[in-house]
Amino acid sequence: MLLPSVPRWALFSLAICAATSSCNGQEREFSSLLPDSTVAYVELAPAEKLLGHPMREKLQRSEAFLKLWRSPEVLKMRGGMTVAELALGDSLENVASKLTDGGMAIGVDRKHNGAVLLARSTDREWLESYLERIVKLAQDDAKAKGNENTFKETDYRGLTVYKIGEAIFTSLDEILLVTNQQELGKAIVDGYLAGGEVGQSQSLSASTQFQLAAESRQRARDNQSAGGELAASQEIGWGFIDIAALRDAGLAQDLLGGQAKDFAAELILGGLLANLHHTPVVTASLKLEEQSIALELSSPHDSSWGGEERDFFFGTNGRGQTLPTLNSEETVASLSAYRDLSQMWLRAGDLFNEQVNDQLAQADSTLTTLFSGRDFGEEILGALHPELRLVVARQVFDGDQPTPAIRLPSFALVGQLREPTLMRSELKRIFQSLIGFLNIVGAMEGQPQLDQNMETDGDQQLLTATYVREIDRQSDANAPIQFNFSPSVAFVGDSVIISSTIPLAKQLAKQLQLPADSAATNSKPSTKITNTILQVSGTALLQTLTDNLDQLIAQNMLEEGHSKDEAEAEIGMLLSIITLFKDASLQLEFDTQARLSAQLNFADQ
Amino acid sequence: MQSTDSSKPLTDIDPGWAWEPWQPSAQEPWDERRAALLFRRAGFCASATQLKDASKLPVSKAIDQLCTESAIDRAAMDTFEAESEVLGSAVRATGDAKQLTTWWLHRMLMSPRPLLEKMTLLWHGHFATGAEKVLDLELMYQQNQLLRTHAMGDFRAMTHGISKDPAMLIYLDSVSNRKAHANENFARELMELFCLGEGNYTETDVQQLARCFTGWEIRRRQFRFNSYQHDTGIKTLFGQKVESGEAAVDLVLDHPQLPYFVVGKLFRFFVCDEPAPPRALLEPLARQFAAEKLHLAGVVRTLLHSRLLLSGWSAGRKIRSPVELAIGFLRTMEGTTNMHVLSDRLREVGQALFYPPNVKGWDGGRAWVNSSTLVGRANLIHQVVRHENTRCAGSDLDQYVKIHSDGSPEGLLDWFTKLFFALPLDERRRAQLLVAMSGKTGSQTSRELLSLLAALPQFQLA
Repeated sequence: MLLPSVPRWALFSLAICAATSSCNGQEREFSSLLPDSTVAYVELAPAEKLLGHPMREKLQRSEAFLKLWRSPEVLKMRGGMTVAELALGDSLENVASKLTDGGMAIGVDRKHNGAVLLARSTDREWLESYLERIVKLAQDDAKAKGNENTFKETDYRGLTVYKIGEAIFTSLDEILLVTNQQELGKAIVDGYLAGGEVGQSQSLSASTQFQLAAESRQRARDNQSAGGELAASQEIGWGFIDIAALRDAGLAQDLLGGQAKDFAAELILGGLLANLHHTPVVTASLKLEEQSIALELSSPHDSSWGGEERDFFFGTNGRGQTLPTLNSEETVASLSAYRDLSQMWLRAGDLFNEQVNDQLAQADSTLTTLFSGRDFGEEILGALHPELRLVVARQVFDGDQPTPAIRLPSFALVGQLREPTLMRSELKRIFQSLIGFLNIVGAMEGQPQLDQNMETDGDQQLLTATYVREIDRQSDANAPIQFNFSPSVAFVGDSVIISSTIPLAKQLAKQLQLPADSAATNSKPSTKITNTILQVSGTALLQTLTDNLDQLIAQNMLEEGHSKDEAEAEIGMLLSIITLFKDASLQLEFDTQARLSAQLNFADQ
Repeated sequence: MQSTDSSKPLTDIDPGWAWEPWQPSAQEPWDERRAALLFRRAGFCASATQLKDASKLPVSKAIDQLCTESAIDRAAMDTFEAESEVLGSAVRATGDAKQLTTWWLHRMLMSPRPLLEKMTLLWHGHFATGAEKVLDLELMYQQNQLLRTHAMGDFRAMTHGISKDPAMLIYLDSVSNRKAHANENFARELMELFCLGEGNYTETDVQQLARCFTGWEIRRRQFRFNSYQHDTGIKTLFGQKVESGEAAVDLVLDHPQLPYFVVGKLFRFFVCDEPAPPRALLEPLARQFAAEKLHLAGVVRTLLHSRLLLSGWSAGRKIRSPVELAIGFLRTMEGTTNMHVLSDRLREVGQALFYPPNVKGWDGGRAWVNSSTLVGRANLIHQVVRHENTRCAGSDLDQYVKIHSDGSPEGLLDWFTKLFFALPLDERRRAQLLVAMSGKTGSQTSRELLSLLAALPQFQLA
């Protein structure tokens, strides 16, 4: 039978499906089949578990999916799929389900520099007949087209092995083996056929790194059970990376060793980098619920791994703990983190390479000038405790104020003052000087001017600056970008709020005055040492992007070279993808394990 | 496409012959190659399909479609203007003048009236104003729209407009022009660079004209006449008494040298970079310009339809500016790309729109190319053809090329030569290129050949 235009991926599907075995043996763990030189390993649940998830139906109904499904590229692919299904006499979905109903695994091997896929089917008869059909189909197709037969059939220790280019595949009883390196395939087959002691001593499952990963995974599970999070039964996959082996091989040196080259990366991920410089393995676990998907990365951790220079991240003896996140109306993102910025600034010489330190020295000089001669690292950053919170919120402009053409979200940094009485007056003077400076620079460049004000309510003090409406401006619509800002500083008790807008400063000030347990609306009582929490609202993000739809379309036209219709379609697709998600969260914790947990909650459709 | 007159020096060309409308003949047919010459000069090149369509029309109708507003597809123009307005608002909202460049490049690339954009580019270099001094994107945008409004219209109205244009007054320090201390910058440039040229006025004229402009100020981004700072004393310009700035601008515009100066500028822009045309050659054009009360459209049409331009005498006598090179390349290939990247590359090779080097604008001509910019210009095309966002007629460049040629190096070379070269490639060069491309197949062939062609000196000519 002739197979016109069957794409490569379809042939690969056929290859995966083309498996049978003549070898009998008891069911074995995937990890026991792989060599101990495996540096990355992933085990996945049967494909049916993913394909049968309720979210799949939602996705298929979504505007984004329908647009994609009708796009010319996907239509072409669908044509190839139909041809393949007709030739196989079954849907690819059914094939995938049957092929993996006993699970599957993927491994990356350092010694052989190759990757391997293992899939277990419980219906061995189906597998055998299916393989025969596939191989014959491919051979007939090649013959009809006058092409060389791409499936080379050979025998290896009694097993029928097929080669397609550099890749080989065969079956080990009910397990399909596909690899891109012949030698790796041989090693796995040899181990499998040896079956007993020899195979065991060389297998991944018997290796130290695998034991460590399994132990780390179990700890993570225990931790989840205690925290009442997604149950282990919802796990659809797990895996690990042998970090020690990658370090030894000198791979990814920027990530796994050496000094930081990027200030922002160190600020956000410094603790994780410290962990990766020492930890032997990182395990990952993926869980799927009806309304959410969650990924957790965990690795063994020791608080001493960061050294003194990373006390800014972990706190003394690794006890640095963040506060609950804060929220305002229309919160797009809320971050709470333990970061001693002053210590980081002052320890820059230990943390960063020379290039970054040169840049920081320049920045320090400029910022010290900007902040009225106060030492930026020691006095300005040093005024704050390390428990910092950042809130980003959508701005709503009412009718009687200038509305910028580009509507940026407002943002605010919330911290606690080390010496509130002294720092209140210092920060007040610095704020006034800064606004004066901005007005002078703005006047030189013909930009709008800021008008300062101050409000006091009991112990609460709010310093504000508002851009003055341009006198001769005909309309409040399409105002300059500056009108996104009304810089403010609020003092509430020991706390200080540095906000890009007055409304956000006021909302956060109100929240800080509430009792602590009310403010902690997004936190759960826990004994864990939580270092960082990030929450993102899909709804508010979508509204923020929709507020700037014209701008997004225009920039897409200029950057992508799209026509207006194409740009509208692409941005529309992006927005419709975001509508699928309600919110997302990310949490970083440290104790004897480092854990990075991310969860994405689907929107109710 | 060589005429018998192609080697004649300008001084030997009969003005009567030069400005007569060109008519096709058996020796000089109206074909795609000649249409390509017209589109290179009157716009930013044209695609193979446009050239084919134009070559099927009578030449006068093809020129009408470029020059005459009524002959342009109104619906396409309205759609384009609506789209451009949205883009303009979006880039102005960023407050970044460099973003304004991308908006104008988009206009040049997409406008159904490329001649209008090309004329706006001419006046942008003529009434040069730099955003680095004006520091106000909105004012730069307003000036650009002013130039576009009058680009093919009334030179008098344009000059009056530019005399009160906030961006220009800031750029030439007219905002500090007070009766106690008249600033001569704008007065001098009005005569020297904008209207008359050196040697047609005296230092006294400059001083007197500057006094006429005293009190012309900018307040809150708008022109304002401050009568308290205006010098109300008697001023004499070109021997005539004059009071207001407006009357003084009219006196400059009525100067007998003005038509020669302006048509000389048009001549250099459309026909050839050098040498400077003899006054006698310009005389018929200057008379037409004066008779049409300084309206530009008629003279531009005369130039574009002239024997001097279309006979082939002018072919290869102009060096493309970087903007003409890049936009011309994209329009030829029906291409689109990342305008931000394109804007940056243009800046690197010496033509940052809204940032002319000085009040004289870009020198143009031979100044566009030197050993450094020649490499830069070739790299610009190299980067455009390899940029991930570059598409031709909505598809990949290779797919586009396959529609128009057989894909072989010979076929591609013939097709590209017809589209991009003002003068035919000599056999030696052609053979060298084919040797360089021998054995090259697959998707990179057209890209590699375009990169090689872009590095040739002939590729830079219009």
